[in-house]
Amino acid sequence: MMELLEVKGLTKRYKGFLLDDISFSLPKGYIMGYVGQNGAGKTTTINCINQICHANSGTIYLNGRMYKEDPIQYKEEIGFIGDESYFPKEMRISDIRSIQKTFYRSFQEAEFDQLIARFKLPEKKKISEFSRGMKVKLMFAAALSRDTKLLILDEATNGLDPVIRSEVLQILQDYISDGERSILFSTHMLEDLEQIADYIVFIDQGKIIISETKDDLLESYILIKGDYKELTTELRSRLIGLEKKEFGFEALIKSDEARNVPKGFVINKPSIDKIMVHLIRNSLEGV
Amino acid sequence: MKALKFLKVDWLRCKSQLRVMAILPLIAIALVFGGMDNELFINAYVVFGAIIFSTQPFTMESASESGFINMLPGTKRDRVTGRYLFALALTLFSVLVGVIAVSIYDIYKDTSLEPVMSVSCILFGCAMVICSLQYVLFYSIGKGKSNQMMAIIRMIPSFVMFFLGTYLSDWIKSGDGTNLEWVLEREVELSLLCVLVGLFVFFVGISVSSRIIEHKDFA
Repeated sequence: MMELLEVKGLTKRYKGFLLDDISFSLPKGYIMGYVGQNGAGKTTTINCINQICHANSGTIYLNGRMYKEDPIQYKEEIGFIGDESYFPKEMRISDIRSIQKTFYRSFQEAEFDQLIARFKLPEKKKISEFSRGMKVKLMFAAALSRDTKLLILDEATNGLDPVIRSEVLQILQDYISDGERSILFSTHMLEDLEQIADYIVFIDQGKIIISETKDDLLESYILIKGDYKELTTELRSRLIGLEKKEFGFEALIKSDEARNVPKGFVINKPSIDKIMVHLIRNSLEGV
Repeated sequence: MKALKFLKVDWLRCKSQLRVMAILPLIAIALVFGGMDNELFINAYVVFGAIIFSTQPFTMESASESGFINMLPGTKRDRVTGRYLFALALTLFSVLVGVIAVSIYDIYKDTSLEPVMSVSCILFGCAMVICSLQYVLFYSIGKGKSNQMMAIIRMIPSFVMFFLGTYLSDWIKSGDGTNLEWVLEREVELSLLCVLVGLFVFFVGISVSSRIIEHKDFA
């Protein structure tokens, strides 16, 4: 498989925070969900990939090329959609069109205009007057009207209404359909990832906890529920992220250990959301 | 070439504010006709306005824009140079407008046109020095560290420039004293020297500012 994005040993130190030795790779034609709690290091990783901040160490290859080898091409190949509008608020769509046209060799004005019309964005209004949904759509229009290879989304679907969100998810699936482009999708909306992601990287406190395909991840764990009083010491030691609830408990257990679970407990396939919640709980217990 | 593209970004960002620049010469002419005894004051007034407006891109940009502006294809040096070119363009525009306005005034009043070019050159040189120093400070302290500090950096130099300009204009116009005689004999050389010093500081400013932001994070 041809890797589109390769992050190797990425380290970034801030006062009170360390992004520690992050490594993952994203093949062409796939979507990677990059998940973790607030402050886990997701945005820092993305900022390093975007070259908005400098890594203390590590390397990033985009389409087989490091930033310093060809900074212009590197930036041409990334489309970024952030959690808030990054366009200067005093600008209008005409200004964004003009800047894109000036800077990006691959900018297709007709495609941009088509997207603006499809998203029903107002040409005359200032961006400061746009709703959140409109701002997100404008970021998509700007990124999708260029020949990018990697689309990076940083919490871009948070706060969007369900109709726009499903529209966005469809756009993302269309984006990778040619098998040459990929998406790095950082989000809290784990149900979105459940629908479209191929890979999941889970980061916590600056470290990667999980990096595998979504299907492997979903098959790796089983959700177990039952009466807390019936928990044996042996079973308890195998549970991950045990959560006591009003009418019992809920936890994860490794799939290969599920066969040994005594009768009387309810066993289900977990959602990504549940896996993350229990893994985070588990890592907090270890602190 | 890339730097010119970044100049365009600043221009688009500030264009509504920059429209005010168009009325500055009119205000200046109105003031002169209204009783100011020195028409060269028009030059100083317009350049003073240009220096204030040249800091607009710094005050208008916000951290959230880094995902757009800092990801545009181009190096950090291109970005810095583009912003310096914004100051250069504004200053050149203001000097030109000042010269035209003073010339119109002088033709109307049938007075001498001689000092206007020298004063314009001196003002241009000083404006470039001030803008460059301001920009270096802006790049050093970064956006939003202290709004008061930003305001001081923005306003003080342009006022110094304004009072220096009017003082200089008065001084040259008064035309007495041996020092002035010495200056007037070398008017062209000194004017050119001011322009050269201004441009030198301008290019040094670009290099220093580029170095300052080379290892800065923009997130």
